[in-house]
Amino acid sequence: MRYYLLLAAVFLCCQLLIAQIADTTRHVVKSVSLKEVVVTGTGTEHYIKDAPVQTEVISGRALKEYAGRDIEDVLGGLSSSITFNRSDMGSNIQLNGLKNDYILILIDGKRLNGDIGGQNDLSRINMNNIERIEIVKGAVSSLYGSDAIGGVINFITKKNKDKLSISNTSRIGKYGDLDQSNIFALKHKRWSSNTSFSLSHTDGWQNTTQEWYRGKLYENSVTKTVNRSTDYTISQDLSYQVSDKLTLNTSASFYEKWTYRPMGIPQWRLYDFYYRNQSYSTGGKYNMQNKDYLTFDLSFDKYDYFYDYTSREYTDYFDENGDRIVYYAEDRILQTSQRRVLGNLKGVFYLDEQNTLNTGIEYIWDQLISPYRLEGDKATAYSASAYAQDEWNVTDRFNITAGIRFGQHREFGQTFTPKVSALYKFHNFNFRGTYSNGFKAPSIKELYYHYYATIMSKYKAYYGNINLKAQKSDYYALNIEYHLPRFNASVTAYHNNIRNMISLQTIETSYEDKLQLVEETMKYVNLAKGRTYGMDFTFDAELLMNIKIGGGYSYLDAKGQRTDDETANDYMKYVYINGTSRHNANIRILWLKPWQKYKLGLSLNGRYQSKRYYTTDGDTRGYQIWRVNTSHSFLDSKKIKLDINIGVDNIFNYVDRSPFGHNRGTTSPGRNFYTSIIVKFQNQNK
Amino acid sequence: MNKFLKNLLTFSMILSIGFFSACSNDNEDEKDDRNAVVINKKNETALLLCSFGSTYEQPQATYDQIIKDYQAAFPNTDIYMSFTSRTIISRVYAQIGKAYSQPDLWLSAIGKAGYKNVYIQSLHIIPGEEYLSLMNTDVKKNFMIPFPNVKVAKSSCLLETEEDVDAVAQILYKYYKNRLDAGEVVALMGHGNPDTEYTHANERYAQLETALQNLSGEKNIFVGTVDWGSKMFSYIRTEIEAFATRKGITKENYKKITVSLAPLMSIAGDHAQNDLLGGLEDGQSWDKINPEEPDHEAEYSWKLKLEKLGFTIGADGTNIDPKHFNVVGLGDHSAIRTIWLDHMKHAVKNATSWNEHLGE
Repeated sequence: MRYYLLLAAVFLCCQLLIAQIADTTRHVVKSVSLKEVVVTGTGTEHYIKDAPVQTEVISGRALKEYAGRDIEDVLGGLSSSITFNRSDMGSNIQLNGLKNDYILILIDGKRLNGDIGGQNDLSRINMNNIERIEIVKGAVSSLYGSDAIGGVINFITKKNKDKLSISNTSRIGKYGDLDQSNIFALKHKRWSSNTSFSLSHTDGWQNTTQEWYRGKLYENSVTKTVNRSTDYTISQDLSYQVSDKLTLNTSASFYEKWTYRPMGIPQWRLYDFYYRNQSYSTGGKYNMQNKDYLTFDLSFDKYDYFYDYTSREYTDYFDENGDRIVYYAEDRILQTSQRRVLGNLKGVFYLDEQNTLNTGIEYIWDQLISPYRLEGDKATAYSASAYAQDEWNVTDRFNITAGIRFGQHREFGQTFTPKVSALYKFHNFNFRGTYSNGFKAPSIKELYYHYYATIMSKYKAYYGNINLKAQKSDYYALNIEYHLPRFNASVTAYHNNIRNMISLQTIETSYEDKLQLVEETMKYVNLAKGRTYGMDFTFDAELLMNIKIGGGYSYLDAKGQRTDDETANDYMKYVYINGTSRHNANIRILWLKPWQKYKLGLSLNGRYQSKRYYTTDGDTRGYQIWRVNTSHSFLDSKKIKLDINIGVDNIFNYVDRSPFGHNRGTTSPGRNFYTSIIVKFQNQNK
Repeated sequence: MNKFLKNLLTFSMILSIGFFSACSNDNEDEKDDRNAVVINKKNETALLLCSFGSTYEQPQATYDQIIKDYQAAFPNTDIYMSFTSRTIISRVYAQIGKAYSQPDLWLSAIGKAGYKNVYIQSLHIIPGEEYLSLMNTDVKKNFMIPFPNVKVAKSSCLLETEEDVDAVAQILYKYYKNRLDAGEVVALMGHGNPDTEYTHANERYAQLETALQNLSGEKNIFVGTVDWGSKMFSYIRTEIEAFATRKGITKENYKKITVSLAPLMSIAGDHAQNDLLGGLEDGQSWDKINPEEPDHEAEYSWKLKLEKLGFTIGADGTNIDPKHFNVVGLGDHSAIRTIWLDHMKHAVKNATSWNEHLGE
């Protein structure tokens, strides 16, 4: 029934669309989307329609009108290529079927360090300070190195240009949702400063009281679908313009997060989670003649993860005196500390009318400290790499961009990843083709890990493997883009082939582990192969009567050889990659009406996801979720802006009540209301 | 700057700080006293009971009964209970606040408390890995030697000697005699050790089976294990089918044979309720039950596999429903508890301290 609503909405919009395209005498509203500047695909700036590498953009406008509760909400709701499957251990993001291990998350082009169980901690990204989000799919290892096999998601933050700007965003919603962001920016002579404080909290919720645990179904589980949590970030950026040519900058940030887990039937969890991050960096940009420039960046990040005990754990570890270690309630015990030093130097040279060279070198040093989880207390890995990429405008219609990256890694030797893209412009069409090679280095965890955890309904042991090889991939894509002043659409067909995928394989549980009630043992191995085929379609249109419509549809066929259960009939056969769904779609309809002192925005967002496949614990049902947001702008003067959003998420109250221990399609709590207020004061630069 | 805005900004900053500090840990439990074990020294003798442990509710009653018997038999002792599994200990503490810590934690605290005598009772069944580790490492190496003046009585496991095997066989035969005489079959499940180093311990199970069969006069009572390769479910299945053949009962009529099942373990805990008598679990179905599945990593319980073969499972002693629970562990037999108590009486008579032992 809801499906029909979706179809009806799309049909209606198509009618309006056709009417609009035919009508060319209307006053043209600036098509913001095509004038967006993107940088991720090539490391150099281009207008999106001229970008040699196809880029999907979630604009600041779309973010604003969506008024999401967190990054996962926003990315999942506004891109049909991105899905999430939230759990205790993280958000489980997937980009065109590939999980966080194969996605590179960047903030302003820089890698986000630190992860929870392999998942980047997206809570560290302040949603209210994002200018736009750029998504480049497929291997981008030629520019960014390891991990960028499925693609890159680059969060571009807002850059202040005003003499003084103070902004404050507060969003509150059901279940004690609170999101607070305060940014204070100023520019004085050669100095620029940006200070921000942001805070997030939710009480969490429970969609079911049933839980499968160790093979049995419990009816009175205390487990929550989303746990109560609180996090905050304080950051400070400072930049100084030394001369016309040289700008130096430095920044520091501090982050803490607490996640609370109820203790009770059936799992009797003994601890909550606590995370902490510190980041420090310094860098600069040197402008040379033409538009050539050099940038350098040196940073240190430390991401720590702790258990905050709420009850005792009688461990099998002994201290230096030979006494058994017991953890008591209120003990805060370090689980992992991930440190990274990253240095890079990059140069962009506009060689002549036709060629732009982007070249750079990078050094990464990673250290993982993990008491009782590593063979030895700590482990390090480092690599040095160099890349070069040339964008060659063969003619003013035809561009070939080719790049290559060469890396030297301590653990497994050398990597060599080329990429080539071609762009051909013809009237209102762009045709693009890409081939790229990618790699992912085995993580320190995959190499050296040794730990125990309850995952889904089983108590499992996990072991690393020092003989792992790097995962490698080949990505092919063809894209056709069509653009008119008020309409653009893009279709991409792609194929991603991955070899030596690292995955967990069940090995026999040792007798010692069996005595500890371990039910299954997993070890990291290079899984033979995986491959994805798919098609992404996106469109944006500006219609009459101030209506904007946009959306996308993704078809995905993602399979990998199954290795987690040797006794399964499909062992080593291609099965759907866990968590992938064949069809994903999203639509957004926005109506903006400005009056003298007040502007009203009405937006409807719909998101559809079909059944997700899993080899164990059940597939999930397909579902769709709709939300309505109303935005009210008052006081849109030069100095002060005041915006209020009021909306309802999940208007049809869809809730997935699958018992814990089985997979679920969405963690949405059902229909929930929210409101947010955004105040911005600015004293603009003359 | 606009005064209104300034106030609004201040207000929201205060609001956020307010929320922030409100979101502290509202865990209202009392602070943990950080004592791994609770020693309440009233006597000069500590008596430490040692078992693998269980998180299940019903075994707690068995443990309570064992403790009661020891209190009655050894009135001037402080009795403490230890478990060996860390997962079980942590969970039991979270559930009921009782610290059944590992023996090493208890012994360390007992030593520090200054007890003159320490009686250790192993509630294990066979003198296998856990039993030997307890007596040799936890007791002798890590306790007797550091505290050489403390007199220690090491009371052995249930089936330490062949005399023990006969005594236990007598008790169990008496318990099942009526059933066996009525043509029924009994299958008992011990734990066992997959390591060949512990063959001598595992063989106590085989000896018990032989003793029971001698008492019964025929092969209608069997002892199998969870983990000893030679005697797992396939052995039980083969033996019961051979029994059927001897009686001239064919597969279609297997339902005429009633099989009683019981754990050969001190308590009716995880193995009894899952491996022996467990029902269908997540993702399992009656059709998928394969009575001939490999013994190792077996998915279905003995009960389900025997039922699939066609045998009738006796209702007495096999109901795991919490409201009608009637499974009996060895510790529930008062005569079995007496054997452990007798071992302790013997151990107490021969208690020595490390210094005395060296002096001999």
